[in-house]
Amino acid sequence: MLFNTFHFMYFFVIVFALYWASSFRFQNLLILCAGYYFYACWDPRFLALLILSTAMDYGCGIAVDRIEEPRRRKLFLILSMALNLGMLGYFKYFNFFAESLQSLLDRSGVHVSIDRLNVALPIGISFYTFQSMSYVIDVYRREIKPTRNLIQFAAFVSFFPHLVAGPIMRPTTLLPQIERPRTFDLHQFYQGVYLIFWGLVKKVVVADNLAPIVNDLFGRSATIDGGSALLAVYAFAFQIYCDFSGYTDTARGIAKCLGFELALNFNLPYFATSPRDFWARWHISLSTWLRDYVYISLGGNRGGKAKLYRNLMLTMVIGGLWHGAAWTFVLWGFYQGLILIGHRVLEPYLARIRPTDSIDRGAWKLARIVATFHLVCFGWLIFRAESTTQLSNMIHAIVDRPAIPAAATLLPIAICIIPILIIQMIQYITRDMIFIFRAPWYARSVFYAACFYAFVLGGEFGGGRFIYFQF
Amino acid sequence: MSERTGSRRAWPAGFLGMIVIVAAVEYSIARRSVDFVETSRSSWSLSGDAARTARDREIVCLGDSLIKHGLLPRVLAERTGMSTINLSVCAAQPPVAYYILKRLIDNGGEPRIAIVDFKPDLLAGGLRNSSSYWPEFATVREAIELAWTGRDARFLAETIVAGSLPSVRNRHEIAASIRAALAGKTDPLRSVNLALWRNWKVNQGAEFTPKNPGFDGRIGEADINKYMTKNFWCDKINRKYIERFLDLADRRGIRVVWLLPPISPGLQKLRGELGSDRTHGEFVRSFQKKHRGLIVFDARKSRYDSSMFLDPVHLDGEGGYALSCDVASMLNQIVESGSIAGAEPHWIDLPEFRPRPLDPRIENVEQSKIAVRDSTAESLRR
Repeated sequence: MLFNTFHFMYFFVIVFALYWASSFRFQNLLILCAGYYFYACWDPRFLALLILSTAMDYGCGIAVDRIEEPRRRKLFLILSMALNLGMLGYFKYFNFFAESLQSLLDRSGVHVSIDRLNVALPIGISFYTFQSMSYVIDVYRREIKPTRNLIQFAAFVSFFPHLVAGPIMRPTTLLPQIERPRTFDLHQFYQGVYLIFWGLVKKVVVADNLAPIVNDLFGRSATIDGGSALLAVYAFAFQIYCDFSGYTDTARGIAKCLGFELALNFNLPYFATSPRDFWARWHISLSTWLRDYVYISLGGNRGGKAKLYRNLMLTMVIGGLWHGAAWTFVLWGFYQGLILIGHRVLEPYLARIRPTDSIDRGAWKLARIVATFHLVCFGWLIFRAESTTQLSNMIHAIVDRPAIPAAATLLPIAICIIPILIIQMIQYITRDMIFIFRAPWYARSVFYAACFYAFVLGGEFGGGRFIYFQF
Repeated sequence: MSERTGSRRAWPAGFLGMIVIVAAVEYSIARRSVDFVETSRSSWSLSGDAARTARDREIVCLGDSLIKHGLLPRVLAERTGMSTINLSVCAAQPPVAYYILKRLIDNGGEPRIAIVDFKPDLLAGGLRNSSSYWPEFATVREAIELAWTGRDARFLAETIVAGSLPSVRNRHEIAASIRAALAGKTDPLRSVNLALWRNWKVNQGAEFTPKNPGFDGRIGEADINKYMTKNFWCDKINRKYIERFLDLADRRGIRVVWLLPPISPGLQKLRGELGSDRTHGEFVRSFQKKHRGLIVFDARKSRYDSSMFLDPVHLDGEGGYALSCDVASMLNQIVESGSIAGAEPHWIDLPEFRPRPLDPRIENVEQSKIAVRDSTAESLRR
């Protein structure tokens, strides 16, 4: 059930009406039932996995809290992690590792046939396993007390707005909201409706219109000129941003309508001034998760520079692999690790550049934004490439065949990207993501009407799935 | 970066302002439907609206484009002496015929004869097959009834949203018009619509077309995919609405003539070979068992030459004229023999095609285009 379908609209209208007509206890039960129904609409068979993960982590959370003996506590933590990572490994990575091993053996001249699994990837498994796992880890670290209420915990894991594509909510922020009664706040509701609307515009108008252009250009990677290849990369950068941030905006909007606040997952990532800044702005819930549960667990920045670089690289490679079971994602993670390390190395030298003049300061900031954007774009090229051949074709096109792209390619991409860029520039300058809420009512009216007609006349209603669903 | 909370407002003024802007834009689009409504969809609104006012007609032609191209009210009226209107619409499925007949009756119409056809390939599809057309036609009540019968909530939402907002139902045409304007071109939709609307008016709902030199009778793979169903199949919602249509006609004493129009010889041969023609015939006969007054006019074996067709299934003006003459003479025979009031089922094979001199008073679409162009030029001169 996609957010951009009438099926979801009916579902949400019914849930919304029942939710605010119910008492607190029933509200949580309703969230749970709605979450399970929402998930079952994708594939009811995989609902069992969600229930299993929930039940196991609920039990492990209580056990880890009650038991004082460190070894036994750790045992339950390992049990939870083994279950969650085992599920993830089995469904998401088994075939990838089997194929890689097969290829390695073939190249070594060892002819052994490794069986593959014929299973579909359960939607959202990477999101809910990470969320559920972080609960047990937080209890283990004594950062939170476990909840005794199974309904509340299950509602936390299966909260439908963010169940299949995030943001990955931490138990410290979402569980308390589930545990306390919610009251209907009209202002929060308005903000929620605005976020749903804006998220859908980003998805249906920008991302889904850019998708066929990007697919076409990447599909012709062997023959296109450098200008078109570069355009394809820029277009993909905005496609993936609008697709994913559109989803999370809609998810946050839906949550707001139900009285919840989900974490801000994107904070103008293409205005980042360094790779480090980019990861503080892009998929914030994943990057903070990786920081808190992988990077810090590996030792973080303790133990000297070599260990810091190793930990950074490992974290980013794991982050890359989280995105998908393919070598291009591993390569993308490696590249991200590389630019983060490169930035760490150059940081002391960059810090010495301190322009005093305001124009110089602005120019220096702009230069850093442009440079970071291009570093990120190169990462997107790796991320989007279906194979290393396609990746190499695109790089060759950019380097060897520079050309000004045809107006027929440039114009539709510019029409999609420029309005979103202008809005983001205003958000960046005003330092306010919902600046439109503070605009005069007539300006808001015109903006909403423009978005409405962009949605109606420019929207792609082919039921395009969100890119991050595959992760 | 923050998401600061703004001032708390009781009324979403921005949203209300948007509603006002959208209402104004929608009103303006609705008033300029000639510029934006796709031609085949406009036949739905024209027939749907005409059904409310055509209360004085004795013969009403219903169904899909085969009837629209195949039956000329002027010919039927002159040869039978009964006032006639053609309210068929392009790509219509049985629910359309039912609702048009119902609207006609609800508005005081008392037709004696309803001539109807249901194209086999349209019977195979469910409601969604014509979901882009329904918003031009259906009232909220009809949409609810249809969605309930088809157990299709999405259809209801789509129909009501698109029905209320002209920009939604004409989104592709408006976008094309904007693109054309940006490229400095004129979208031809307006002139085409004006010509077709004029033709609809002068031919009382029929579409009278000149020869199509591009069709030589050959049936290609694309035609087979478009017009053929290997095994005849009727979706359950279509079956239900055929029943409702026939029940309504029975209750009101309206004699139904189910016309099986001719199709081009190449396609007819293929249908015969595949057996779908036979199963389609059995399907039609199955309704005669319950509705004893149902008359079938079968023109499938009337040997219409391929030169009488616009494409594999639609008759051109000359073919339509010939079919109208034959249908009129058959109706006369039935009326004269008194079986119009009887309750006996009839399956009548229409006579073999023979060319007839065209009535010069009947205006074809090309002539309508010229007339519209001339009147536009005249109004500009004024």
